[in-house]
Amino acid sequence: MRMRKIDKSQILSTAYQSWLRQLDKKTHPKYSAAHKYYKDVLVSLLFCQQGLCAYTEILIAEKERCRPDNFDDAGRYIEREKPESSFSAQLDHFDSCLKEKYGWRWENFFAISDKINTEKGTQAVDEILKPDSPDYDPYKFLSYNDKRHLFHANIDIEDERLVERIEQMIVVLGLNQGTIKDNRRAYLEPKKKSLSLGKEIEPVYQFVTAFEMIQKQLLNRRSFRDSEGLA
Amino acid sequence: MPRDAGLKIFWFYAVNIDIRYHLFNQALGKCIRCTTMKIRQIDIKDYNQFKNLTLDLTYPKGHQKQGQPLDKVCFLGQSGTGKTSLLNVIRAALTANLTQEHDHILQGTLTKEYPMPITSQILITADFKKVKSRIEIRTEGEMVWQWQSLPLAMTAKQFMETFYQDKNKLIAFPAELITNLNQILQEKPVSPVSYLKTTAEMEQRSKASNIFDFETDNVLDIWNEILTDINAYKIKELKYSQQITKALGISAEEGERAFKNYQHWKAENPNPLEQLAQQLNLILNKFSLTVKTSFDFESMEDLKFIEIESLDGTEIPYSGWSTGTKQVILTMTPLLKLNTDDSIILLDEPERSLYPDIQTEIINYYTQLAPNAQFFFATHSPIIASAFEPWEIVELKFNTEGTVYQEKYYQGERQVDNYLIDPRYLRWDVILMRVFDLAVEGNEKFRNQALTQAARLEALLSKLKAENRLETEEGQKTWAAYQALATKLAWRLDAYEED
Repeated sequence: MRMRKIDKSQILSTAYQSWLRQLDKKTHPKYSAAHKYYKDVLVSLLFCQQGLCAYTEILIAEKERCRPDNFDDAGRYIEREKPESSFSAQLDHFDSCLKEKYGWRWENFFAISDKINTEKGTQAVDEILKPDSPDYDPYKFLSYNDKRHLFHANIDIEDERLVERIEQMIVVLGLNQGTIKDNRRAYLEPKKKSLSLGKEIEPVYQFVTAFEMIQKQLLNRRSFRDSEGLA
Repeated sequence: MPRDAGLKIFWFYAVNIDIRYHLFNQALGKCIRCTTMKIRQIDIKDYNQFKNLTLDLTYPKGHQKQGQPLDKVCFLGQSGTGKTSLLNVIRAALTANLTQEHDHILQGTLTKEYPMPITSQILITADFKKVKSRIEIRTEGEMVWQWQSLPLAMTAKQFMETFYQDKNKLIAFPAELITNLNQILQEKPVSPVSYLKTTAEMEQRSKASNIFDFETDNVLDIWNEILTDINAYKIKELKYSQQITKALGISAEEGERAFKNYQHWKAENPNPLEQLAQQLNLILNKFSLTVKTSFDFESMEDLKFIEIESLDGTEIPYSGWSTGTKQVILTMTPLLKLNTDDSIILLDEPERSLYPDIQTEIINYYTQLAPNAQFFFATHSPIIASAFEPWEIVELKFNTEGTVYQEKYYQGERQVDNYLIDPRYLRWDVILMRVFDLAVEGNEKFRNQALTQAARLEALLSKLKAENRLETEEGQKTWAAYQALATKLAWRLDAYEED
């Protein structure tokens, strides 16, 4: 699993897909969490996102909730009892400006953690960090400070305006938001320690981008020490 | 099923309570009195925001008290999740009067398999060691008690009276406790005669009740009862003072004799306020205060309530008491003065008006003052929460349907090793995020952006250092920018160094 250009080409709720096609370019009906396709869209996205928040990559849905068998033959989501969880999934309109006219547009939807949805609100967005953009590449724009467990703009970027745009989006998408950061640190720090001691680790199921960046940094440090004869 | 249609439980409309009592020995009242009473489970089928909620209030597997009811419980949750409602449910169960109707013999055992009666809305299960009893409050005016394993030839009423002889069933502190003091002080001026009369009345009240609920209308009566011995001592001291004055009017010798009598009495009779002061001062000294234990009787204020003074002896008038001082004195005094063995103690918002350093200690103070009671707290404070074992915390949350559920802190079997959160090990900010579900760690508008920028500057400094360029103009500029942000964020300035 790697971050995380999200592939949204498959929509499990074929009923929603057909309905959306009929809407074509007309103004959409009012968006509401009570709408009959809300959960269809949400669970279809969770399948594409493998149960992770599209922006922060914290786990927001167990595997069972992301499987295709959550949908019936008519392409509708089958409601099931599920245990309550601290990090629950909510639908987000990436660009909130499109919410009023095109509130059901698939391309503008992501499933995200409820912890960051409220804060993101109607803040302006920049497509550079839209996870399903064709040219989306987190390594190009982001780096990870593995001591403080913070994402920041890649230090190789010299264009200050671009750095500002990236930093703004890190804040908007909640990548360093308090509870997300705290959970990321708690999840990744033991894995980082295991890696540095050369121990086997369990497969990583969340915060995959941060983990990959940590792995890369550990490798870089090791090769630097090797080259300096410090190993 | 026997019913007591006259019983009014006004704060909830449909309650069904189940209490299990256990008893070491079924024959002797003496042994009944040496048992403990604790609530072990609350089941709510349908009451207000609660639907099909079961709260297991026992120690989990692997704990040295495995299976026993919890010594203390802490209700957490967003406003409206029902923390205070749960305290009220417990209060309702314990303030109900027993009648002959409550002698019903319970059929079957009170295990998990025991079906909840169709008419029931809430079940509370408690232990009196081996005596089991079940109380069902079905509607606003309908409550039923059922008993199992009562001591031979004892009615439920007799059992309860024996069990609670010289003990107290309930001590309940509301969140707005400090209004108690206003009520006491607003009473008309007191006289020694009225105090003595009140004391006699209080003795009667005490025998009839065993309930100390500081939310009720008769707060003054309750406080007079708690301070009975202190008030009696003050009155006696006042009398000696009057006798000395009178004797001095006759002759110096008479005055000296009266004074010696007073000294003799003082030596024989320790001031009960001294004992109380010793404990209260443990906290009051942190506020640079102390309990005043000597009286000049220049005003009748000396007879009204406990008085305090600064450490240099300046008396602090009641109008000058801080709300924290009031909270400490009004909660700790009853626990110091009353017999709390087998009591259920309800304390809503124990953090009220207390500075964080006091909050870190207050739960330990309370539980040490009443080691054989069962406490139920409701709080919004992460500091208070850190005083509890994870299984002692009941975190209530709303689900998407608007009903309340308990957040589980363990995975799989309810076993000590399966708990994922233990607030005793966490920093306050982590408790806020993990236990209280606060999503942010500070003022995100300012902090988050600064963190993101500082993390980049830190990475840049590492790169510049590796390239041996820290002393260049760019290096110094980057360091200055980092220093400014890191100071604001309270970061260690040397923390950008590589591990």
